[in-house]
Amino acid sequence: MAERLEAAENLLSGDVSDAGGVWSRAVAWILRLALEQAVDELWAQIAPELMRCPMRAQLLALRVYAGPETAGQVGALWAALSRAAHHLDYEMAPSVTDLRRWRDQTGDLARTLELVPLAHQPFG
Amino acid sequence: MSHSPFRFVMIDDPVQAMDPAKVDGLARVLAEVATTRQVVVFTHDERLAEAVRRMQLDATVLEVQRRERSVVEVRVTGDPVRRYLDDARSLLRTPQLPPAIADELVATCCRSAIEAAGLAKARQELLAAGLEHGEVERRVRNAHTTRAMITLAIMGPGARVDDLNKHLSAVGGRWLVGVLRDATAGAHVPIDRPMRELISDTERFISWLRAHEPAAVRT
Repeated sequence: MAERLEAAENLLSGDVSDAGGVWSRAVAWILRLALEQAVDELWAQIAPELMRCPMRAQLLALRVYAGPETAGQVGALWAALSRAAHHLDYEMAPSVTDLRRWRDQTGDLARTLELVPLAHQPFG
Repeated sequence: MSHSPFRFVMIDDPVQAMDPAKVDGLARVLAEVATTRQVVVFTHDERLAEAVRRMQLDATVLEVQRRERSVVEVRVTGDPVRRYLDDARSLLRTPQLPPAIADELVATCCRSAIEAAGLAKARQELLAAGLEHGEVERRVRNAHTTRAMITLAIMGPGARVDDLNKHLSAVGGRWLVGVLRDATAGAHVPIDRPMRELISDTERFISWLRAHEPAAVRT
């Protein structure tokens, strides 16, 4: 996770010249993977069977385990990153402002999701 | 226009809210003007660039990206497929990223290249089948995944994504299914195919896709 966020940072700051013109989409790709990883790490602790489910199902389950607000934020960010990541012809690449905001949101949500298992101590 | 002493025309954002069918007409008008003057168009809408490419008009498309601290990058936009694959190759060799992450990005470039080729093919086929521009754009926007885009391109609007693998095997061979699977999965899970091979196999997939003539577009 930290490695992914660091790679995103390097791409954003222009330190990775080898990425060519794809650097902005690459940041979106990496952030989406980092977000999915944060969710997977949560499932690994409290509900491993959910790791294989499609994202839509995972987002629904997230409402139960992490609350509707956090689940909503994860869903919105994931949708935005997916949209930036999928090629829609000559649509403009995501802006640096958007990428920075998404990078910060990914970090924040990863931290929030880390805390979720503490709210779900098993009974007895 | 004909009385103007200036040998160039500069237009800012002409296609905002324009009916998609009219965009083609605008592209033709601009091409006509461009026979006697330099025409420069600024836009943040992709449809004019798409029309120019599809109608094979003689135009150069430049992409302007702004980085932090207002550093501006200008690149000539060639074929997006070519660009994704070139970027994939340079990512393969880069020491600037951890190898696992570079591999994920290579796979995602391959997926994007396939998606871009699929998008162009889908537009081409649907327009040739007589669908209205607006309808074509609606269909294309509703193809949310790479597999959905390929299904639209070679099986037509009514087809189900679940039937794609069987169809690909039938019309082109099982190898197509494997390439599509690895390109779409390779960003999420480790795949058996080495990344270098994935890039050349992606090129083969795209060549096949471009040459393929679907039997009939089912609507």
